[in-house]
Amino acid sequence: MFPQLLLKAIQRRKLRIALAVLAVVMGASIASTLLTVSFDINDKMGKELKSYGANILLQPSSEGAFINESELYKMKTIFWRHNIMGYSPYLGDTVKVKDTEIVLSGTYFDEEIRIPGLNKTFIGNRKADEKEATIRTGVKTIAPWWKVDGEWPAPKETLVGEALVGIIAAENLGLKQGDLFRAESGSNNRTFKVSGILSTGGDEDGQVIVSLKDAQMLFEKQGMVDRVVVSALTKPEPEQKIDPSRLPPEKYEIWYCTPYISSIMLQIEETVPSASARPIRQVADNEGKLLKKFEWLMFLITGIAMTTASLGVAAAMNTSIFERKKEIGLMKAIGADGNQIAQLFFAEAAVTGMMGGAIGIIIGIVLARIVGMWVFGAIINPSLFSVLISGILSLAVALLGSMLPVKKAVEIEPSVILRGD
Amino acid sequence: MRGIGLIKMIIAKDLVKKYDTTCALKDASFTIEKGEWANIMGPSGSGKTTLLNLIGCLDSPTSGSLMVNGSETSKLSQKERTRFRRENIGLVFQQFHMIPHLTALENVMIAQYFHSIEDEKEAREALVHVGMGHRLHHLPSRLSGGEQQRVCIARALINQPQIILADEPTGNLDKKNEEAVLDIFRELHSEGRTIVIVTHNPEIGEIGDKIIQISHGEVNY
Repeated sequence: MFPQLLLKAIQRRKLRIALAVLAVVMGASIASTLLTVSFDINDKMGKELKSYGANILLQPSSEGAFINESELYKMKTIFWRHNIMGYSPYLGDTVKVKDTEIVLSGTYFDEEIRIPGLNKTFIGNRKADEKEATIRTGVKTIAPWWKVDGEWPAPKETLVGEALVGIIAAENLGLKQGDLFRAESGSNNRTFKVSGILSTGGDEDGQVIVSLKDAQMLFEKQGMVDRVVVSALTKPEPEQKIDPSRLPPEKYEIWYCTPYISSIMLQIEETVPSASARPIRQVADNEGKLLKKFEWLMFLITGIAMTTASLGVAAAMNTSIFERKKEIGLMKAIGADGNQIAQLFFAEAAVTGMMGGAIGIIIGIVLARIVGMWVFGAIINPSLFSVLISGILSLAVALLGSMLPVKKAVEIEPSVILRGD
Repeated sequence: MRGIGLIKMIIAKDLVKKYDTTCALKDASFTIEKGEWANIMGPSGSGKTTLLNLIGCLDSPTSGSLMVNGSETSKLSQKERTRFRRENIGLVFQQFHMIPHLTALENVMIAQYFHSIEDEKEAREALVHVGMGHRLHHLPSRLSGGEQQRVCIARALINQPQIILADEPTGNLDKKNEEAVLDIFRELHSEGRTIVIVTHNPEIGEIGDKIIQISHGEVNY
């Protein structure tokens, strides 16, 4: 009898139910969109923020020394290796071009690096991480905002090297794409061809950028670099500063296994002894804070949307109960108790919540994709978790919104039926 | 013999019902025996429906004592009154009052559902018994007034209540349907059910065993 009673009550009041469902749809679609985006955002946003620069700088551990280039791959073997999104080593010095002193830096443009340790890592009998035996890294990865008018230097060894010339330097030196120039460093010199004009909005605009190998040859510092910028996905540091050396072993373990910038830096220093790491503070801190704020904003909007939906359901339910006052009085007069009345209306609310939730989640997934493409230029896929949470929220909103109206229904006196109110 | 006079089914003593400052019922005292047909009669606004509400446990008195089928109902909570009502009382209304989106059969079965569990066979038999076997699956809007009232009587009887309370059961019916409904009440009376009817109709007054006359909230019994 209960299913018939429920189904027929819904069929008879399609418009009222549709209004309540619409309220849930609106709330659920916003919640679903934001939760889907929010759960996927850390990764997407983290990568997006990476385009605003690296967050760790490695410098030689002692003055006058250099970092050993051959040790750098080890960064991709640390506990948080998957969070090391890329790195770019630099070796720079002043050179003379057309009798003008200018800074020439060598770096990786888009280098394939072998990670020898990784394909020897075994878990039981299974080879792990074999796919990561090589990575591509360089300024193209960690500084995607670099704009090159022309071509990137080709990764080939020729007598004439290829160089990017900063937009200011090009103007000062009167160089344009395709021109040849000679760079002199002490008794060494090397000829480069301008493959493109670089604009970054930073110091590089006044420099000449060549491949690391060319710079090492020119400065006679084979296998050496003077700084490395690293881009790592990190978690915001806790409010209270942590001094790892004072932590008890179990807390130290937790700290070590959390991708804080400080723990990642320590792990890098452990594996690359010739380097000392320091955070490029502003970017690293802001990145974490921004992510946190973004997450809070998402939850806040979700909360507001769901509260509004709940009020919509409450209004629709209230009207429905007012219209069905006689029917409720009759049901009570012929023997229904408060629980049976409450069950009936809560079931109606649950159906409303589930219908609204299902439609809202589908809309939310579509909207999340649009937001993903629009804001991050990437497809945001719904996680089962966000779908589940949105579903539970929709149901909860419908049930919570119905609580007061149902309480009113339960309190209706059966005597209304005889009084003819 | 229907057992009249052996057991007192309803004993009211000094019943008072006030709505704010209005006294709808003043010190009403009367008894109705088991199996008796009692008619509550009086002009409009005299307190007949108030009295029926109290006997039917749809409302509780402001003061006084009301024993129904051996239980003191004046002190029951709303939850207890509901339980007592569904076990002991069948209600028939002047306006029929059916759930509009349920068929005749479902309107009877819903009373079973609220009482315990539905039994479609039993509900069909109850409708056949009141002459509605051919209209089982009709919605109330497709039934005449007389037919709706017969469905309501079947619904009131389905849980085998001791007492049938009816508020102007023929008030909205034509002569033919009035007779048909009264025949059903006569049959129930002959089966030994206690029947309490609120009515203006002097013809019904003549059928009953007892008349409880009420005027300005005072019972003349």
